[in-house]
Amino acid sequence: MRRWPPLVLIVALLVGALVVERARDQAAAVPSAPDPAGLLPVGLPDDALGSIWFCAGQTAGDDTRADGTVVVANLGPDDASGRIEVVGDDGERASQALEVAAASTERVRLADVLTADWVAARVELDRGHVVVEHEVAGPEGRDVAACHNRADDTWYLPSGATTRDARMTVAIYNPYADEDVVDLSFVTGEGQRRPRDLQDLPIPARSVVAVDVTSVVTVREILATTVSARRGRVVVDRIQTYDGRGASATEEEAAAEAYRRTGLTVTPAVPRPRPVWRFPAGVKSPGIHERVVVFNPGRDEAEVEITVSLDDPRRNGRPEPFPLTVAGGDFEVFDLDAAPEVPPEVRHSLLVRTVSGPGVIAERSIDAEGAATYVGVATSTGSPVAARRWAFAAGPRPDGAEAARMVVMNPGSEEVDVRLVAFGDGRRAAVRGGGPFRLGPGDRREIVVETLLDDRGSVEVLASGPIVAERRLIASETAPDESSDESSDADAEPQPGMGASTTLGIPLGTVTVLG
Amino acid sequence: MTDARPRADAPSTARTSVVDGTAPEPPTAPAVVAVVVTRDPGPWFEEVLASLRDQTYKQLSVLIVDAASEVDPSPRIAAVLPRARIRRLDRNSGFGAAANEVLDLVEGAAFHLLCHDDVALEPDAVRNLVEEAFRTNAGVLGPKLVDWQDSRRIRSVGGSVDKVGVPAPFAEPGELDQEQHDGIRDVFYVAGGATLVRADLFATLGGFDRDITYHGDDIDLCWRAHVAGARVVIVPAAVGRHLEALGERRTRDDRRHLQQRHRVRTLLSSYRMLTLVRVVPQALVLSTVEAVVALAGGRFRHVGDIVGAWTWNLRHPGAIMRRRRALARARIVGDTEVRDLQVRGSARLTAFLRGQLSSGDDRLAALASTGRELSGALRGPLTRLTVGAAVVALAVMAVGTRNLISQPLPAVGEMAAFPDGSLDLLGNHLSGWRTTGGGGEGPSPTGVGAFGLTSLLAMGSTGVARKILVLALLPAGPLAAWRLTRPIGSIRAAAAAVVVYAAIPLPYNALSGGSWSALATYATVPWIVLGLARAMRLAPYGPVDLPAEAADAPGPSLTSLPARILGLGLAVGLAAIVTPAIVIVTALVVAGLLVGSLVAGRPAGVVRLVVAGIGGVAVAGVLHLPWSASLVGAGDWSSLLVAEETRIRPFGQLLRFQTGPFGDTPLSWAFLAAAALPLVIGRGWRLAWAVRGWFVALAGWGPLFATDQGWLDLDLPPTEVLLVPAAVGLALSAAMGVAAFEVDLRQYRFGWRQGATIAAAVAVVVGSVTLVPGVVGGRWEVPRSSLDRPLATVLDVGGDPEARLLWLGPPDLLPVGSHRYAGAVSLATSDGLPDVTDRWVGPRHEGVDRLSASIGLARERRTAHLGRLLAPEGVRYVVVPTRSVPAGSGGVERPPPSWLADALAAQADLEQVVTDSSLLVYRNLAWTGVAAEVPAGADLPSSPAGAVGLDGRGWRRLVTSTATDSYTLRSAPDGDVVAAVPADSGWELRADGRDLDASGQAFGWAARFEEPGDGRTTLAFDTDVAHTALAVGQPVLWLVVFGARVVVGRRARRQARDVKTADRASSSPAVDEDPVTAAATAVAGLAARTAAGSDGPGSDARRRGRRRRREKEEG
Repeated sequence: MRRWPPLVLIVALLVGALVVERARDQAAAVPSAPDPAGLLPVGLPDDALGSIWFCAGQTAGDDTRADGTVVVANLGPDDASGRIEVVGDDGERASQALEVAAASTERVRLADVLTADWVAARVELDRGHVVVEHEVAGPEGRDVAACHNRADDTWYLPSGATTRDARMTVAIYNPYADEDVVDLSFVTGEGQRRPRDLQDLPIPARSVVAVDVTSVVTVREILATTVSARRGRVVVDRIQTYDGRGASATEEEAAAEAYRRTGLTVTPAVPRPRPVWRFPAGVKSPGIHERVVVFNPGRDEAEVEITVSLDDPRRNGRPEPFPLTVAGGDFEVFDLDAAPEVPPEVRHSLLVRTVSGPGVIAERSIDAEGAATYVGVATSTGSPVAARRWAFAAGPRPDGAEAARMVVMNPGSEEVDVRLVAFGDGRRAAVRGGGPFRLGPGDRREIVVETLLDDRGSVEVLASGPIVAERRLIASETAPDESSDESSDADAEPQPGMGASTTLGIPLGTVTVLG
Repeated sequence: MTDARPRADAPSTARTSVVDGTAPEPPTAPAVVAVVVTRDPGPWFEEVLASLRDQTYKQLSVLIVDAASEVDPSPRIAAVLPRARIRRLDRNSGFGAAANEVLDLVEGAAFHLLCHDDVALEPDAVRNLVEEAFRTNAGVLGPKLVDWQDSRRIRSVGGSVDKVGVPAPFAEPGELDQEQHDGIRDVFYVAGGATLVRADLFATLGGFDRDITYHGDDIDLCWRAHVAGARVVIVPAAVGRHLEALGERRTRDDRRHLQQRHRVRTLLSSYRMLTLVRVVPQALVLSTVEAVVALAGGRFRHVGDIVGAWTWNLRHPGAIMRRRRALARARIVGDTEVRDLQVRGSARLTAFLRGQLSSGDDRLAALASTGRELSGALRGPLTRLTVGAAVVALAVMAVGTRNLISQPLPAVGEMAAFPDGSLDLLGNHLSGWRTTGGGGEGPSPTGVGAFGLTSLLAMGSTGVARKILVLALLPAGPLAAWRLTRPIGSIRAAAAAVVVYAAIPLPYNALSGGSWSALATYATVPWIVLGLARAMRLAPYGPVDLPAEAADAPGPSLTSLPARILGLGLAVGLAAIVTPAIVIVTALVVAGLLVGSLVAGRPAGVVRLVVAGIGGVAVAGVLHLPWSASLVGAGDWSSLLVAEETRIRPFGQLLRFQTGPFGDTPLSWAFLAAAALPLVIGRGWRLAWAVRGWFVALAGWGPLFATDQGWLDLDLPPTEVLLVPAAVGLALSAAMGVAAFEVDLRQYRFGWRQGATIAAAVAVVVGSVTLVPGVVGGRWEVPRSSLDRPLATVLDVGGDPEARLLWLGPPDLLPVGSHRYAGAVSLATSDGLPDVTDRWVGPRHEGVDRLSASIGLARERRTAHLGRLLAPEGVRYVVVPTRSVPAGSGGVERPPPSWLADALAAQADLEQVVTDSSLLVYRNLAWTGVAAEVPAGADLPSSPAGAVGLDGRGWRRLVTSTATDSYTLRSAPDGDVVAAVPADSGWELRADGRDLDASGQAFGWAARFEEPGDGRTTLAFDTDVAHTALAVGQPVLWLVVFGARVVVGRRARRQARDVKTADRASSSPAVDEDPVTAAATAVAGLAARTAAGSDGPGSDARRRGRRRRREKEEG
């Protein structure tokens, strides 16, 4: 028999297989996208048999720092029912039934259920088409953020401050029936801190622990926080207040500061670093100071680019991306005030993108003071996802003291049609001025909702393609105090409103992970 | 003229005629009477007689003793030796008894030359023998016997025996005569073809033992001669050509049978009693070892011969005592002196290792002699090296397993624990309710019953039975490889196969990972390949594809295709007891052999191959009825797989068999190099089988690669299982490489091919180095603990050792048989800690679908109350392994997919239990037990998903004890009973002597018994009588098939023998031909048949010429 044909065939098959596999491995080097629900709160399927939401950080009582109210919006056609359970940091627990009619919004002030220094709430409903946010309000202002709908074992908070004017509290909520143990670590400008008291910190079953970071890691203008659960899974929020005294240690030094911050924020922690973060609502104008903190929790250095996309780029230009090198286990700050390429009075969106190295977490803060029409601090982590539907449960304060602005941007490469639908009292109606309108690739649009919404506060954003939606709540200017002597002065200036909030909506339906 | 004459008082019952054939001799020479015992002599007989006629020793007379030939040979004798004396006997009592006639018929002779009728002596043979008799004063002398048709090859130059009487010939049969044995020397025995014995000594000894009919009479006579003080001497100057045609004239091949029997008889009758007390136990031990080895090799006749030798002698104590008394009278020399003439150690073991033993059906054993010529002076060392390597490989295997033998074998992977009692296994086998996959009706896997019976045989020790059933598979693999390659006819080739098959990391990785399926496949696939090869009847497994000059030779494959199918079915069936995936592996092997044959351009036998493969699988299916019917009926491919493996490894790892801790080194590529040798140096059937071996290997690798590439969207058996054909293919090819080295390499000049051979040999040794850590550790990296340990703690703390567990995770981490859920996640259930009864997943029950749906709801985030959904199924714990064994115990780590951990962690009614990090365990806070009391008439959901809105924590749990298919319940006087069993199955509630069927359904499927009332209550499954009957009848089915295999095989062999006899008869020379010419012609034909299958040097030139012509024509 002939020797060479079978010999060549066998060798060819073996070598060919190795070559094919090598080529396939190189092609398959791109990692698969993670589950978006593991990156931020994502709405459940409409036909889900139930839903659970966790609102970790707020106080419960009059005259407290961040008196919490849970806002539950039912987007679906069916009534939802369930319970809200509130647990206090003192171990107390209380619950009450909750009914949310179709296309309606219910608000539950947690202090009406349970009074405690710090409380967390678990909202459990028998429908999936429900979203939950929580409002916090206190002397320094008001903020709204989405509640979580899943616990995790690691959480990151890129920013925070413990300076003289600041108070930072990390609320850690264990919604389950088994005890958790967590470690807290902080990255400051001087390196990493692992306070001994905050290692092996037990989080009892169905309880909340509020960690006053201000008393542990003192006088840090910026610090990034990592919460890792050694056992179990928890939910983490950060509550940050600024009292306007200035960050400096003395009054004299504070007087020399460029601006002072006043405000209250509640910020949901982020469970995973990602290579791309989108911030649709950006603004640079006198009295408004915008900056982005980029935290790299990994070990390796990350090369990051921050792209500022100005509205009407043909007129305003396209600034080159700003490079940022973030060492492993450290953070860097990008201050738009220090970027002359970004013109004032031009709205923009931000893109934070890792060029090389590990993923990062980006948080933006907008501090308003002085020349602005309102005073406040608004913080928000960016969006690592895009979706065709976004929901916002809470709206502006019903007394007209706040303006709501919905900001949508198209991160994709194709045009999308967008429209806004308001709901809240059992009806659904198009938001006036809320479309439909078309967004080109990379475009953004800001819709002022306050004059269009009537008394319905919840909004659903619908698009024909993946978009990112963010909401800004801005306290309205107030008229001059008529009781004062100056009130008779016809030329008296209106007073800036107190409070600001920016928060991403809750994505629904098919969600696309960016990057 | 001799003065020896027939005695006057010779018996007259037989007809005696005397024909003088020699001229008178001067009286100074002593008279010699040549006694030729004949029976139905063949065409060679005239040449034998002529050799006596032509002897130069003139004082020789000839006595022909005809042992009742069917045709009177007198005319043939008279034609050549007209003066020879002829005595015809009425019956054939064997050579010894016939030769003993000389004691009665002859007087005055000094020597008797006792000859077979197929020995032709050289003209001066008798003279040399007689002269040496006087020179050395020897009592028994023998000539150098050489091959009839090739006088260069030695048949015998005498030999020694060991203490138990096993012969140790000084020259290997067929050894090339280079005068290396031409010195006159004392031997223990001379071969019985031609023996010169002093007449007085022969008379003193009473001649041959009359009860030793054939085989062994020569050793017996010489042994007794030694005892009587006589020397036994070999005289190489005297030469005789020996045809050894006895086998051609026996209707059955009983050589080994008679040799064993007569050896024991000689042993028992020749030693003194004190010596016997010491030797017999040793002989028994050696016989036992030989029987075990034969049993492991599937040579059941051999086992019977060994056992029969002892039982036959024990049945004849009187004859042995008489012989002992007779010998005692002649004894002059003690056993010590006799023992000095014997070899030390075991001659049989030595012969086994040197490859001198071959089975009766191994007609191609002559190949080894060809190899000997090739290797020349290096022959001995090479054989010892190769065989030594095989022995070392097996020894290394044993050493590496030592701690597993002496220490507990943890329940790792598929090597699940056995229940405490064998009756538990048998009870489970008889039950019609399967607990796996959420539970459902169905027949029990054959393995449950088989393991139960095995445990019974192990005196009820299920632990011992389990250890044997697992660890015995390890050496069974190389032994099977030995059996697969033995027909090649080269001990070195078989040894090479053993070394490669034992050194490939596959079985050790399988053991380390607990892949029982792979071990069973490893031990079985060589048998399957052997069965298929024999079914193809291709050389060396049959006569097809042999060289033309050997094509008419009777090949080793004498049994019929039905016999092959039955044998193959038994092999597949045995492996299927552990893993039904063997069916898939068999199909791959068939495909590999088929494609390999086509690629090699040798398509002969492929139809028989396919038929045998299909038939074997069908027989295996029958053997596993009714279990197999349920699998086929389910139409679920994955049900054949036991555990669906979805994790694919890089192809490079597959080629190196790196599926575990062994093989992670470039050295592992060496096995491929060794197996590639025959592709570059092999010829003929050696090259063809190497190609087939490689394609069998590719058939194993191919599906894994195709699945990895996404070309094949199919569940596969575990990786190790699919790699077994690859290992067998490489071992077979390596064996062919050695055979090619022995036969084909000599046709090349010294060059790179010789270098490649050396490289291949080195490669095997180098590749084996990867196993060193396992050998040193003594447990092949098998973890020291199993998941059972932490899980048992969880269950004990929960106070419910029989709690129902829902297993989720990668199938190869799950210690239970599982069904695919999604991606790399499978699911399964077990009641309490899993055991071997949970290994076989079987058809997919509805419970699996319900559980999958519930998991799906959690995965899609559509519920946070998975616990409520699982409660009606009785699930108390959800268990997700993250490692194959507890942390710190070795094993592999395989974190579950994030969605699984996320989905479970997000459930409000699942509480994670603190336990070892190798497990994620969630306690179901909504658990209501397997049976619960609900308020009478309570409105329960009508669909499984409806349970999500039902808080059943207030229900009273009723189960107090659990058995295989029954639960004892508390009474439920005021409510209904809802049980986690299907309402439409055979479950009944027995309360107060009443059998209650389910009166309704809860959740759309669960049995609901309305108000059963007070009193002792049992929830039990009513197994169908037909199921029980089938389960009991299954062992009978196995016995029937096994018996059929034996009967069909025997019948086929008998038919083959008849055909052979008919062929021989038809080729006999015509009566009216010149007897000498006819004899020469016939002997030439016989010689060709005897040499059939050998690639003898005489045929090489012709074969090469034919091949060149064929290639030229093809080209």
